Amino acid sequence: MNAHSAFCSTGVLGSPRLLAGLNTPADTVDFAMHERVHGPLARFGSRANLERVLLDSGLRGRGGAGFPLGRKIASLAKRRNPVVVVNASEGEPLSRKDVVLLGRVPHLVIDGAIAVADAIDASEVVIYLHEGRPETVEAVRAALAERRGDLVPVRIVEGPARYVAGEASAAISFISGGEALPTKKPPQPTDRGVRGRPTVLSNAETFAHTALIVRHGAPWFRSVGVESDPGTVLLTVTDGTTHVVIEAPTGTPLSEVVARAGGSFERAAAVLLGGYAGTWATPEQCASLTLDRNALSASGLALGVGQIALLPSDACYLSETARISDWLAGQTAGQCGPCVHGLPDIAAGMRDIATRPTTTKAAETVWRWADQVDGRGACAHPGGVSRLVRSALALSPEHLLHHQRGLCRASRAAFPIPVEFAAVQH
Amino acid sequence: MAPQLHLVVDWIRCRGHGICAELAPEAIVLDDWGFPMVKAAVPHDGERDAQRACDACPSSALTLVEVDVPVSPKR
Ligand SMILES: Cc1cc2nc3c(=O)[nH]c(=O)nc-3n(C[C@H](O)[C@H](O)[C@H](O)COP(=O)(O)O)c2cc1C
Ligand code: SF4
Ligand code: SF4
Repeated sequence: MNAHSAFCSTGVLGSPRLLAGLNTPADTVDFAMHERVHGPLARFGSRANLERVLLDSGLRGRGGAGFPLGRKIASLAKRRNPVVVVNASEGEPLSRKDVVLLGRVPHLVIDGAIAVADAIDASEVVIYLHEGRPETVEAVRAALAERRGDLVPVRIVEGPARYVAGEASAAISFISGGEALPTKKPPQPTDRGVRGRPTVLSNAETFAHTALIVRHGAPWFRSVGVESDPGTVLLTVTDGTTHVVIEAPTGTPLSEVVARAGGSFERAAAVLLGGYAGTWATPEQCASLTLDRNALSASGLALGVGQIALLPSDACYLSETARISDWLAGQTAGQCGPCVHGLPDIAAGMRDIATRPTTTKAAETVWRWADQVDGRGACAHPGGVSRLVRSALALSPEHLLHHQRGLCRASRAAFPIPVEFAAVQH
Repeated sequence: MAPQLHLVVDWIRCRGHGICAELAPEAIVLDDWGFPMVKAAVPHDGERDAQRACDACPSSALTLVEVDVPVSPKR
């Protein structure tokens, strides 16, 4: 099996919504089964109703930033022939939730996109995948072939297997026939997206929830989870080698999610929340956290694309941060000065801190650089690196001191650096 | 809502010439790699310099935009 296979284990806390119908790790919910489990696709009826129901549901985007989908629909320019884009490029190396959705319950994602496209009278739905995951592309193709009489045409676009290619404006540029490079904002995709048309681009999971909201309504959606971010959420729990995708209501303690995946915070050296552009937390800290986006960000943490990565006890989070930031620096789209020049310096500084004795000056310099690049680029990529690096430097003053004295002996590389995401050539 | 002037850098265009920071040092300083760091809002007495910096940028990467910021009820 490929490392990115959809056939990783799944688990559910509470009643399954997105993962309903899956029992064994090899299950795929085909169209007949999908309609048996969820019933036929309903329609929002009108754009106004779509907006109202989504706003009432409180559904927030599952692609990282947590922006409410209802507000995105409300800001969609009212011109003809808008486009719906399902962002299923899942560039986060440790994330498997979108691969599980597309590979195993693809009809839910397609239904959600079609329900939105139908309500806004869109000319097409584009499912944006990347060529590094051919088995997912195959699964979506097979799912589309099973369907009959869809209200809006659906096509697949395979972007390049690069991290930044999953950024919204990069995806739109590629789908429009250009390169998969971010463009400056404004314009926002909701104003000028695919080939200049108003575009609703959201993460695959966001559309999957929409498929259930159109069937069961906003009150049903809100019946589980926290008020500020209702519903269930998919999380990839991983130690860097094995991955388990868990569906749980927001508000669930992180420890329950990890336990359901067969893991525990106690054995972890540190925990990376939210992916490679996420934040480090201590296992002790995690023991009291819940799946609550607002509460997490109030404590300086990020859930990002829904990832809990447990660092094995014989690995070191500073070394991991050095390797990850080096990889992230190589993923720059090469367009913006602070990103092109700053990220490699940050990565080199982190490598020094992780691998040889340094003075506190070295850490202060990396911190200053992380502050400087944050928010300065055409896309949010530099901010992701800042977040990761600052959280690593702040995690444990004792362990940082250990490194400064050259005393850390952990040398194992635990989290993978994806090979198919080759560094971009400039 | 009260209108406020902000300097906005188009990062894809900016080449780090640094001319802007020379012309409007109150509003723009350069980072460790020579790229501009702009202050959030341009003060009224800095508008002229800021506009000159925008006009002088060889890459047309710098613009002054008017943004509406919510006025806090306390003021
Ligand atoms: C460098 C970078 C990479 C990204 N990669 C992805 C991705 O692979 N998949 C994704 O859904 N969103 C990705 N995003 C976020 C998208 O820009 C966008 O916010 C998201 O797809 C919107 O979906 P949502 O509103 O449903 O959350 C990325 C953002 C950045 C800055
Ligand atoms: S910030 Fe970096 S990744 Fe984003 S567009 Fe600019 S160069 Fe590319
Ligand atoms: S003058 Fe223009 S190109 Fe040069 S640093 Fe300033 S904004 Fe960038």
